[in-house]
Amino acid sequence: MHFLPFEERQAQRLSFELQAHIDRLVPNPNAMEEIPYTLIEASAHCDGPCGVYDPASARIAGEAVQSMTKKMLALEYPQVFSSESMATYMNTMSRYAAIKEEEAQKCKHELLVLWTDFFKPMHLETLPELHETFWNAAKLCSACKVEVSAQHAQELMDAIEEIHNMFWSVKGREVPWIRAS
Amino acid sequence: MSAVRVRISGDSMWPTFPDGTEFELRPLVLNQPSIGDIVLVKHPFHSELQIVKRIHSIENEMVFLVGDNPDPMASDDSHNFGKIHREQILGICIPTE
Repeated sequence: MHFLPFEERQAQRLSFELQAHIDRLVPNPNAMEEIPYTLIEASAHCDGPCGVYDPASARIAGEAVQSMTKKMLALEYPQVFSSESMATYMNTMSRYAAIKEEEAQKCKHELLVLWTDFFKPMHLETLPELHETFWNAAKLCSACKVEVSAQHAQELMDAIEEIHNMFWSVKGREVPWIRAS
Repeated sequence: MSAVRVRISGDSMWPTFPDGTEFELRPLVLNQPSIGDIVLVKHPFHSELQIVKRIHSIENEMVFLVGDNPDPMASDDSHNFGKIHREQILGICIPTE
């Protein structure tokens, strides 16, 4: 009796396994008659689930920054000077500042996650301005932290809107830019 | 065995093989696979999923698979699920063009 070498037996076995695997994928070979070959789909996807990113989280944080900035600029100095009026004024102002600081940092984090995790090198082919847009948006987060600037808060929202449009163009979907406030 | 083609969905093999690339699938023959080969494998953690990756290294029958995409987040491969045994390879993928 002739025995095949181990390597050849292994190759033969793998060939059978491959055919069995394909048979399981294509239960009705007759349906493929017009195609000269059997086509199977394989995944070449990313590490994390591709669909869990959304620029909405950056937009919400950005809106909070803009809202707090407006509130700080609109807050009037107490008409009656007293310990109590100063305490409530400073408490309100410092709460606005604290929220602005926190939300600006959160916004920057959300943007950086999109920039470094969601967007991939191939996206630069269709979005050559991608890096500069994110760089500017992150810098605007910093500006909104250190300043009380309505102009920079609006520019941050404009940058987030631009990122929203880039994100959904990559996803191949038309999602309108909607603000909560 | 009838001719079999594999079409990939996803960008883990970009820039060499973009989304939608088709390969001719061939069973392993003697002395295969080799480092650099593109292979079809059943995902070790999701048996219903077959994936296409490149062989980065082989050591004691254990194969380390990688995607071609340079982004560390772009490929679900041996960086995530570890090495696979060479017997888990379903076939070699040959680019059709």
